[in-house]
Amino acid sequence: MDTLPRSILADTGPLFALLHARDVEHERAVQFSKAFTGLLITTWLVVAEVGYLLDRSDRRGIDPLLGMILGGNLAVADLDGEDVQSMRRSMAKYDTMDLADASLVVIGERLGILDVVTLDRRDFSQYRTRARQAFTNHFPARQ
Amino acid sequence: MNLSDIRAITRRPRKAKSLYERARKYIGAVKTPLKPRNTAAQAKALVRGYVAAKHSR
Repeated sequence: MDTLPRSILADTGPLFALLHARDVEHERAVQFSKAFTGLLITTWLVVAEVGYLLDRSDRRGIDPLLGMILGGNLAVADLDGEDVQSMRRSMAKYDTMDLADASLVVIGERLGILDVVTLDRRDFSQYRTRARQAFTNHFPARQ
Repeated sequence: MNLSDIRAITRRPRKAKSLYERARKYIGAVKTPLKPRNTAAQAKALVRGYVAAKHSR
């Protein structure tokens, strides 16, 4: 794996796969976590999605997710009114973009971070910032 | 966390430990079997299985 950037945006799939030992992507999520020494950044919308999926599996599964946040291993970025406006614009532009994706794109724009871990390779390869910058996905590909 | 706090954290020197080492106790902590994620796909598979069984008789 190439040297990873110091800050990476985290989408729902990799976070869920990291916490859930039986997810099909778990080994790849572990591979990423062993190579990554920086800060994972996400939004509360993504946290809500991961929480929903964990809750469907095991209600107590939410505790490790919260532990990751409290331990400083996952920074959760707040969104303001301007961000919501940007999300609205992005969602109008991309048919397949959901709220969580839109929040990551907007936070990436604001922080100048164009690195992401996502299982949603197709959609994230299409998303662009307002300055037409593309995102780079660092989640390990299937061999 | 507001974005200026996140910017401040990202400017700090990179941690020596990997995410895996830092969050070891949380990684893979959930082991309960996954419940079906896509019931529509399951229903389709069931119908296909039923049709295949009927034709093979």
